[in-house]
Amino acid sequence: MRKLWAVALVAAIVVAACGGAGTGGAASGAVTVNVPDTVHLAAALPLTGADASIAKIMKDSYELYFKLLNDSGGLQVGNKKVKFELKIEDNKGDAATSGQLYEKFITQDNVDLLLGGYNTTITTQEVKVANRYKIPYVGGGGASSSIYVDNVWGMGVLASIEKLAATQLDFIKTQQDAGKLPKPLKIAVAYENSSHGKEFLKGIQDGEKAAADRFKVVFNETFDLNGKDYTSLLNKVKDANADAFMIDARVADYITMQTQYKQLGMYHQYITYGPRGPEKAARDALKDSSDYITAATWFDSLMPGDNVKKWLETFKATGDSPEWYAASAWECARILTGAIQKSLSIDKQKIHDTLFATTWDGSLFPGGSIKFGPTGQANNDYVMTQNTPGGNRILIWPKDIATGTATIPVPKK
Amino acid sequence: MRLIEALISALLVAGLYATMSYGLALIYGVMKIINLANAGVMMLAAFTTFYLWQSFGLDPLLSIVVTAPLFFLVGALIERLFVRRVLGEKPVISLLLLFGILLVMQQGASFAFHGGDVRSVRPAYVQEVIHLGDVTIAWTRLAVFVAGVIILVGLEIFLRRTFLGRAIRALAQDRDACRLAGIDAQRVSMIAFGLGSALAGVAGSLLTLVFAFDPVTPFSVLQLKSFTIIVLGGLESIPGVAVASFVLAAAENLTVTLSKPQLENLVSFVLLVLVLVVMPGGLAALIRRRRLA
Amino acid sequence: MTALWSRFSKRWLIIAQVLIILVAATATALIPIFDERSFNLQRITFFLLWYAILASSWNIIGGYAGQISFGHAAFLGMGAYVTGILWSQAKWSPLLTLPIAGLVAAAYGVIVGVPTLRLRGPYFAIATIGVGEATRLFFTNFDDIFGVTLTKGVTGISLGGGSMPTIDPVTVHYATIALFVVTMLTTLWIRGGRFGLGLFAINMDRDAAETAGVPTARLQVLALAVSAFFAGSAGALYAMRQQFLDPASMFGFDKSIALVLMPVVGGLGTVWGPVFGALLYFPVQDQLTRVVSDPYLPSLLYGVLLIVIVMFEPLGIAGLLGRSTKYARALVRPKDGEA
Repeated sequence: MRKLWAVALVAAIVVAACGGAGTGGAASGAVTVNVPDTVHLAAALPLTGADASIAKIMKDSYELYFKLLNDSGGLQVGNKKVKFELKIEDNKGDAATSGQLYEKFITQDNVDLLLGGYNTTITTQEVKVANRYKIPYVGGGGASSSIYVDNVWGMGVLASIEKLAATQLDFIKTQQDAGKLPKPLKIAVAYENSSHGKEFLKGIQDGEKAAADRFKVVFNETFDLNGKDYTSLLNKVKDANADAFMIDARVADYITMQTQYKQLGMYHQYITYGPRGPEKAARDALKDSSDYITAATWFDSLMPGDNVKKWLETFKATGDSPEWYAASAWECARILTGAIQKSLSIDKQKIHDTLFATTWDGSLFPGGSIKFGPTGQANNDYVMTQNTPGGNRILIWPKDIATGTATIPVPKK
Repeated sequence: MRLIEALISALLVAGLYATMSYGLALIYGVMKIINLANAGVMMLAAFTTFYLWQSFGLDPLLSIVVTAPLFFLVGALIERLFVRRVLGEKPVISLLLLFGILLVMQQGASFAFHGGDVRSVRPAYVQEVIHLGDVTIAWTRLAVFVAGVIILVGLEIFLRRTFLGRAIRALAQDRDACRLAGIDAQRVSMIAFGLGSALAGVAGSLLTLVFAFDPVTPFSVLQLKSFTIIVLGGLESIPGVAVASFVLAAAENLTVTLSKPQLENLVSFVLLVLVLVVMPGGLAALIRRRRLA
Repeated sequence: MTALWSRFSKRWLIIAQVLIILVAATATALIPIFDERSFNLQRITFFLLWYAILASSWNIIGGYAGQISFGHAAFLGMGAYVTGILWSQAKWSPLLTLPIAGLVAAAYGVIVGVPTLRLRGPYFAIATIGVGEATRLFFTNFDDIFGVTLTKGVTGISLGGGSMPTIDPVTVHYATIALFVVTMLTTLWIRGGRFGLGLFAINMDRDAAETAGVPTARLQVLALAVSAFFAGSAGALYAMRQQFLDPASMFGFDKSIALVLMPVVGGLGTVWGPVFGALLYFPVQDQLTRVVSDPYLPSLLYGVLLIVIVMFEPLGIAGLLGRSTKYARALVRPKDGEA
């Protein structure tokens, strides 16, 4: 055995001595001052797995944006037309995979700028990679403020989940003042076991602290993703005797839970699944079981405004339902190309500075403009919708764009 | 009161748990292999049920008439074409083989049915409930439970009263002796594998009434649970499976009721490891030991 | 004469394999020296070596001892989280945590192995599926169960920021190479020594091995502990490099599946099979998505490949190579005495 080690040692020395034949590295990316003819962008999306249908719509939205841009001859940057090449790959809904993909985009494909993926945890990992390689990243699929801790290079167009909860509470306040909901409102909260869910609860609890006379959280429990039987949980909610039931769940869990909620004959004066509710897939599955559910989202196709109408017309080309994530992906692409146009460069630092310094007008999102805050996260208002019978829905918040009066309390049937 | 409700709810879930685990126990009994492809069969049956319902409006409960024979054939084919060829090899080989078949089924289905879209089957009676005092029971869950019980009784009668059933049981006890007694072990194995798959197919049809699903969820989780169940039930005992299904479902529901809902799935895996450590023979061995003592 | 020649050639065979390991290590070690901005090459090197370490570690219990672990991500993730927690909470230097991560994972291996490996039949395989999932759920709910802030649940742990000590990517590069060398020398040593012989004996016929006085249960538990040690250490490397951990990424069933696929495709129970498996798996994973438009096809191909390999060439790539040349056969043959 000792001889073996001796031989190994000698071998190591020999190899080290004549180790001149090592492999060289990849070419390093020189700093470009002018904008190249083609700008390379990339994004990883969960094209397979639980969020595949969402990812498909985001992908279609990204691709349509750049197809139209390239078809029109390219983006006008100074006196030059610039074309775009977009790479989209599948991260399987796995954060580790997505991190590796973004690293590949940067190191192997030498992409210039990055577009974001979907879901809070995955986005956190992506922003981590963007920061490590110091490349601007604009995302529209992660809303948790935890993404933007220690962050310099990542930007997100979605306002935080805490704000989502706060918006719902603001709406409830107006209903309380109109005498439609009791004061204080006893709230039962059930939230999915994720940062998304936890921040939803935190938003409600913050609201409770700020207005103890209006809100009282009488029940809060978290549940695992992809559950199959919520009857025991729902029975506990029943025992809590709350006036309002506020849930944060993914689409599949929303369908299962709402079915069982109805089967158990439960009733609350106010019910919401956070940002869920008006999705076409869920409405098709749940039919009238999903009537009167309210939702707060970052965008809704019912919103007024010419650019929303124009976008809806444009987006028809994909054949997809114009969900909020379609709009947020579109916004990311619009803002990133806008930054190139404005800074007349694809220099990372310049793009970064432009992204932060600019108020991005002409936005599809509520308020019509997007401004990234100091952490990198935008802070637009939410819109709220309520499902109405016949598979329809109305805008109920903010007041100035409401398309109908909310049916609160939910009618007993 | 809530405890009783939780237990009733557990009983209803147990019907589904048992149906999806009988086949696993049956196949293990006869061939001493773990059918990792069980979840794949369940998923394919769920999709078959979904399309039958969507295209022809066939009720999920009635679609069992289609899925049971269909997946009997699928199972028999898997046995004939793949499993039989590796039966003499180390257990590693059959595990890997069936795992490969599961991957092909899952990814093939994702490929064919466009991945992550969530499907759900919702016949008209999905909202119907029955009130028993204060307890509300959804009709769909009751139907699934009743189907589970009927299958248990039917299976027991088949295994005890018919020649084929006895041959299967004999094979489970001593393969060599069977061969000496003139039983065609290969043929019976093929039938047992087919039967096991048919049961998974039935479970797949039934679960469409309770779950929204895509090619992967909730089948992977259910597969893991059915492992817990068969280990708890003693690997090859059909009544053991039925009892173990209830034990698991009750443990889960009580966890949700008495403790934190998010621990529900953790329960089954902790239970699995605990059973392996404390009583590797499962409940069946425990009962046997009691009887002897 | 023949006996002498065979002893002579056997020694040279080992020396040749050690040389291959050292050449690979040296070549990869030179990469950052020649071009410190060779980020892509460094990225590829890291993942190739990392997957090779993981596949080789799985092979010790799955290939040598013949006990299939469907939950090996439990050990990988355990190591990653030990490093993650010590780094983010105790502010330890991450490199110092690497051996601790390995040892904790090994201890976890013993805890899992002692009850399950004494049983016959497929218990271990089933148990590992449960262990993998239970570990994932445990880390997901850890904070809620104990009322602390350690794992941060699904949100994940972000590393290397704030007041945490930093680590240079090049340092991780060298640490990975070092762990690769140690892993390979260990599997080589196990395969050639009494320990490996015992494991192969158990794998071939447990009853016969027991009769011959082989302490079957103890050897298998030891094999699992060694295997878990390397998987856990690899997890620590991952934490240092990617600096973000979440339960689904670290403990996910798909990670455990990857760890099964690589050694099986490469060649179960051979020293070099897992390395071949990693050399195939990572490039396919990394580049095939570009070529194949449908995202589901790669996994479908793995399933087909698995079935084909199991049915026709149980020794995988190593087996195919072994058929083609005599020398390769010598390198990859699964056990001594089999030509």
